[in-house]
Amino acid sequence: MITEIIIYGLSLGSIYALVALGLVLIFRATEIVNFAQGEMMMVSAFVYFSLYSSGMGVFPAVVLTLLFAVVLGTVMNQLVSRPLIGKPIFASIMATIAISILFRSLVGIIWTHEDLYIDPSVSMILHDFGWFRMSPYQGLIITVALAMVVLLYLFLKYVKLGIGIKATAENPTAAELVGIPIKRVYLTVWIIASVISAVAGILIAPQSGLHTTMGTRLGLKAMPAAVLGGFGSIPGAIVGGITLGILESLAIVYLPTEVYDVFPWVVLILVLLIKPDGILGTPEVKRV
Amino acid sequence: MKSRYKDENLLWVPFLIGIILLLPLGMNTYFTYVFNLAGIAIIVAVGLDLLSGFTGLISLGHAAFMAVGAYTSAVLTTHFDWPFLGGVAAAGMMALITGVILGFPALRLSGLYLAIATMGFGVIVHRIILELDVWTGGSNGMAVSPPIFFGKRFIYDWQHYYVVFLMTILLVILARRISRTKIGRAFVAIRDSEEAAQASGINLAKYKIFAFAISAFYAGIAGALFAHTQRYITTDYFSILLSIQFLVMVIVGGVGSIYGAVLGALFITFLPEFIRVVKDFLPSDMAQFNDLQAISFGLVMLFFILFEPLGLYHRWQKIRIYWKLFPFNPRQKRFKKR
Repeated sequence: MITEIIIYGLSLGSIYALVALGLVLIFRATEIVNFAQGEMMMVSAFVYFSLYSSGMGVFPAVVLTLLFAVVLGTVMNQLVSRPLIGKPIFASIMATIAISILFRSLVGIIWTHEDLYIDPSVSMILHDFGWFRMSPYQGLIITVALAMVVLLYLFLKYVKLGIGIKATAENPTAAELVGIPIKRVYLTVWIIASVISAVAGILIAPQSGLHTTMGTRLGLKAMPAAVLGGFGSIPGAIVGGITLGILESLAIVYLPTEVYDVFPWVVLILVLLIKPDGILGTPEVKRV
Repeated sequence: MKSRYKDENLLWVPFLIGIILLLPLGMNTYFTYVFNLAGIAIIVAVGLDLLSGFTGLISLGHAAFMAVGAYTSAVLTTHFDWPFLGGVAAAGMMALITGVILGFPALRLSGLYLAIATMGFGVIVHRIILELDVWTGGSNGMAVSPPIFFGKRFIYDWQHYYVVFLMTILLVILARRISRTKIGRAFVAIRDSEEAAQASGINLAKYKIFAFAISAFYAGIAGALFAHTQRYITTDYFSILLSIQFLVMVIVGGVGSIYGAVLGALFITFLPEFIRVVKDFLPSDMAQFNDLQAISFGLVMLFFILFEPLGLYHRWQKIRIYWKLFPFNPRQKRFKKR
C-alpha cells in the first residue's frame, strides 16, 4: 500500500518537477518569474489533443506538439521576455499573469471550457512486480521525466550554449563581456522551458483530463515545489517537485479529503516561515 | 507653520462629492448597480494601494481579506442578529486581525516570495470558509440580509448607492490623510529602501504590520458592503483572479497615488460595460462574453505594465503640465531618420 502511494507521488512529483524546472531555468537566466508556465503546459496539451484525435499516430503527434512548443517558447521570448528583462520583479509577475489569462481565454475560444478526455495509449492498470505494484503509465511518466532531467544536465554540463546559460545566470554583464551571446541564451532557455512543460502536459493529460484551468490547478503548484526546493536552484526544483508530489499523495490518503487541495500551499507557507531558502537553495545576500 | 494640506487645491472636492451624491438621480438601475460595484472596488483598490503602492509589499491575496469581511458580516447578521453597522465594523476588525496574522510571516518575505505566500493564503482562506459550512453554507453560498437602518430595509440599488459611496468617500479621505501622516511617509520610505528607512529610525516590523492591517481593514469593509448589497455570496467570487484584478486597478491607476487607485478601480469596473457595447459589432461566434472580457482585461494589464507602468494618474499629470505651459512647451527631441 505505502509503496503504491509513494509511486503515485513520484509520478505526480515528476510532473511538478518538470514544470518547476522550466520556471527555475527562466528565473535563473532572465530573472523573470513566469506565472504562465502552467498555461504553456496547458496550451501544449490541447495542441497534442487535437493532433492525436485527428487520427495520426502517437509519435508524430508528440513530435509536432514539441515543435509547437519550440514556436511557443520563441514567441514568449520575443513578446514577453525581451521587454521585461531588467524590469522590477513586480512587473514580470503581473505581465506573465496577464499572459496566463490571455492563454486561458484563447484556449477557451479555440477549443472549449468543458472537460476533455484523452486515452492514455499506455495501460493505466496496476501490475504486480512482487514487492510493489505500478502501472506502465506511471512508469512512463517517471522514465520520461528522468530522461528529460538527464538530458538537461548533460546539456548544461557539456554543450557550449548550456555552459553559457549557467554563466548568464551568474552574471549577465560579465557573460556578455566574455562573448556569450546572451540573447541566444535567453531564447534557448525559453524554448527549453516550453518544451519541458509541453512534455509534462502530454504526460499528465490522460490522468488529469484536459481543462482550461489545468494550468492553474497543476502548473501553479510548481511554485510551491520550486520554493520547497529553494527558488532558483535547478536540482532544488527537481527535489522540491518530487517531495511535494509524494507529500501530496500521502496527504490524499491519510488526511481528510478537503485538505489535500490546499496542502501544497500549507507546505509552502511553512517552508517560507521556517527556511525560506528551501532544501537546496542558498541564502540570498542583499547588497545595499 | 505651513499646514500639511496647504499646497493642495482642495476647492474641487466639495463639488466632486456633490456630483457623486446627485449622480443616481439621472441613472437607470443597472448603471447604479455597476457604480455600486465600482465604489466597493475603489475601497479595496485604495486599501491595496496603501500596501502595494506606498509600502511596496505585493499582495495576491486581497480577495481573501474581502471574503473574510463579507462572511464575517454575513454570518453575524444572519445567525447572531447583529445590526448592519455592527456587522460592517466587525468585518473590518476581523479582516484587520487576519491582516496582522498574515503580516507576521510576511515580515521576512519580499517580492516574489510575498506574492506566492499571499496567493497561498488566499487559497487557504477559501478552503477554511468552505469548511465552516455550518455557518457559511459551504459551496452553496449564503443569502445575506440587505442593509438595515433604524428598522428600514434598504433594498433598492439607489439606496445601496448612498450607503456604499458615503463609505467610499470617508475611506478615500481617510487614506489620503494617512498618506500624509508619519505612518504614510514611513510606508514610502520602506518602499524606497528598507535599509535607509531602518537607518533613519523606522521600525520596519511595526509599519509593515500597520500596512497589512490598514489594507486588510479596507478590504474587509468593502467585503461587508459587497455582501449586503449583493445579498448572496459564494466563495467562487473571491478567487485569485479577483485579487489580480485589484492589483491591476492599482497599476492601471498609478502605483502610489490614492486618486490613481480610484481612477483605476473605475476604469477596470467599467471595462466589461464598454466591451458589452463593442461586442455587438463582432461576429457572433467570436463574441463569447466571458472570454472576450478576460482577453481585453489581459491585454489592458499587459499594455499598462509594458508601456505605461506609472498609470493613468501619471498620464493625467503630464497632460496638466502640458496645458499649464501651453504655447511655451519645451520642444520634444525628435530624431529624423536619414
